[in-house]
Amino acid sequence: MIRLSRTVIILLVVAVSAFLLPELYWKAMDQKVHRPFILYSAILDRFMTRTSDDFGQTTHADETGKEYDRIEFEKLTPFFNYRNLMKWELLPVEVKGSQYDDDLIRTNMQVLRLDPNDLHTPQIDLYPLYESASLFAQLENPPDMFRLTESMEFIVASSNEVDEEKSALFTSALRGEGFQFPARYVAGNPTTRKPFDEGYIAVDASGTLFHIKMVEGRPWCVNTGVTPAAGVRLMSLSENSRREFYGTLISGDDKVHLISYDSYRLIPLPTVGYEPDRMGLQLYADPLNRTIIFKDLDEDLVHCVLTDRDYNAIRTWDCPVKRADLRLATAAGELLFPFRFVNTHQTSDYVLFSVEFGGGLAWLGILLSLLTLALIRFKRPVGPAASWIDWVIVALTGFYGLIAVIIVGREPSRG
Amino acid sequence: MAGSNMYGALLYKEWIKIRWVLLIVSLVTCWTLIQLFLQVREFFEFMEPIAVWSDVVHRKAVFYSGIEYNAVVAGVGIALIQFIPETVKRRLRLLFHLPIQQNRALYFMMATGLACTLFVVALNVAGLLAIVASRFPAELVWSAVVTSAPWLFAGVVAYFATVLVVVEPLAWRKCTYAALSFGLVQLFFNGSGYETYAHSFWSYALLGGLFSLTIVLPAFRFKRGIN
Repeated sequence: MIRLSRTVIILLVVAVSAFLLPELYWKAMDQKVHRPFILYSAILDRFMTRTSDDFGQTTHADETGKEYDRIEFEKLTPFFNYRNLMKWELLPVEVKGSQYDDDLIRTNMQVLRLDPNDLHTPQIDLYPLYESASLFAQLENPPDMFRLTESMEFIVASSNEVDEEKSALFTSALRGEGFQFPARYVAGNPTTRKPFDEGYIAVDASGTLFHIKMVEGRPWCVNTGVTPAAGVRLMSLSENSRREFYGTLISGDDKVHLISYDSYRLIPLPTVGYEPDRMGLQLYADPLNRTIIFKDLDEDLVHCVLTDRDYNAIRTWDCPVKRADLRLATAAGELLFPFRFVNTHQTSDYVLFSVEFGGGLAWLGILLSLLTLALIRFKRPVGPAASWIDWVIVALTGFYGLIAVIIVGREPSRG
Repeated sequence: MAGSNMYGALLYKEWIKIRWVLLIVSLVTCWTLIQLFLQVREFFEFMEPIAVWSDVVHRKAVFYSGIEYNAVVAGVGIALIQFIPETVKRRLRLLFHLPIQQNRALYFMMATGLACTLFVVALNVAGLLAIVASRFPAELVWSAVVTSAPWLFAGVVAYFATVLVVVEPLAWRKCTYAALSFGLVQLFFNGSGYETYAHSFWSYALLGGLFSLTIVLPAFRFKRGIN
């Protein structure tokens, strides 16, 4: 029992060290990576970058490396920066032979973002269904939220009770369209701060997409007939006055699609190499083109794709990211920490309990830890039966195990 | 028979030590629950009920975070009041000379303390469920259980960790164990928003649960006066 108790304390020291020490180490050693902000210049036909450095200096350049001052940069990317051009009275601006004023630009701009956290975030499956054909300019909160389980149930917030009549009405409308309960996925934009309401798109038990809205207090349901073969991993809706697409859909095979206003057709985005669990993605729509930017936070490249208005790739560019030289810190980290436990990661909103193994130098760290233990044992020997656990622990956990064995001390003899 | 009398006497001794602390931490828990109840009432009185739900569901406001540290305070408080008097003038050594097996006596003491800590945990759970269920649908009640589980389990870990720190006889090792305990208990309070431990709670619970096995070594050292 004493040996078990001692071993458990050692393992606890190892586990807590493996959580905390690498985290503290990298808080002390890590340096900010200045990732460029990238836009496409339809005037130059080049991607443009804006990058800050450690001293707060911002560099504006095009993909060939030619630098510009900030005003030139903004003039060369007139769609994204049209408000500044408007202030400088440079609108309408001519791009590729056409004139664009602020109205035309504003009504043709849209930005979409997808983060890995969108896939890894807790969610409570209750949603407010807004009146989509409101008499008033501002959308208003409904008195209830719905769940799509064995039926479509509306729960009134003031009484915390189910509104049976409304629930029956919507359930029957959905069943009439062929909806099979329960829903596998529900996506919407639950805020009143949007120009209009498109309701929700839900995936039913058979994997088909249904569009659900409330129009003049009545259910408005459409069986889209769209059933993504690979299933749906993520959907997000974003109402925009361009009314080109309802939102985005990541299918089970990690492909990104836009859900088109044109019969809910899924438009695949040319995002070869995009991994939604690790990468963030931005889509910028402007009057002429679409720019898709995606990047892995651990990678030294930002992937850029320019498409036409039909989302056919026109050109691609991988923008290099400058990173501080952390080779020495990485080598020392590998030596000290053969593995680490990770509880938080920038790609997930969940608290994790995962293990990351170190690089090749970990073996040297383990060897050094074993030599140190040998030195300690040589000076103050203990019986072989009492010490084999220490050797095994240090051999498996390196520096962590060595600290633990030193802290916990020798196994007391029972004689 | 003598053994059962001995356990009865031990239980009475522990109860004498714990009762006031148990009362205080129970009152603190009740106070935070009353505050929570009044806060929820205020939300629903001064905001649209649907806006309150929206804040919780979509903005991920954890309105019951006031109870976050109740269990830890209870675990630490109960362990301190149980074991500090035992380590003063090395009284714990008297326990080891009773006609019951040393580890059994020790674990009996800890079971008493743990039961009291669990009582406070249960008080938190019951109060939280009652308050949430009165105003929110089942999804949010379950969410509150999942969200508060690591905070409440941290109370159990804090109890065992405090016993380890108090019973350890050597001062520098006591400090190291205190740092270890603080580090481990802290692991139960990461993340922001609800249900962040939904996928990892049982792993952390297993790790924290290991603390229950740690007491034997420092107790043996305490008994022997080994540093």
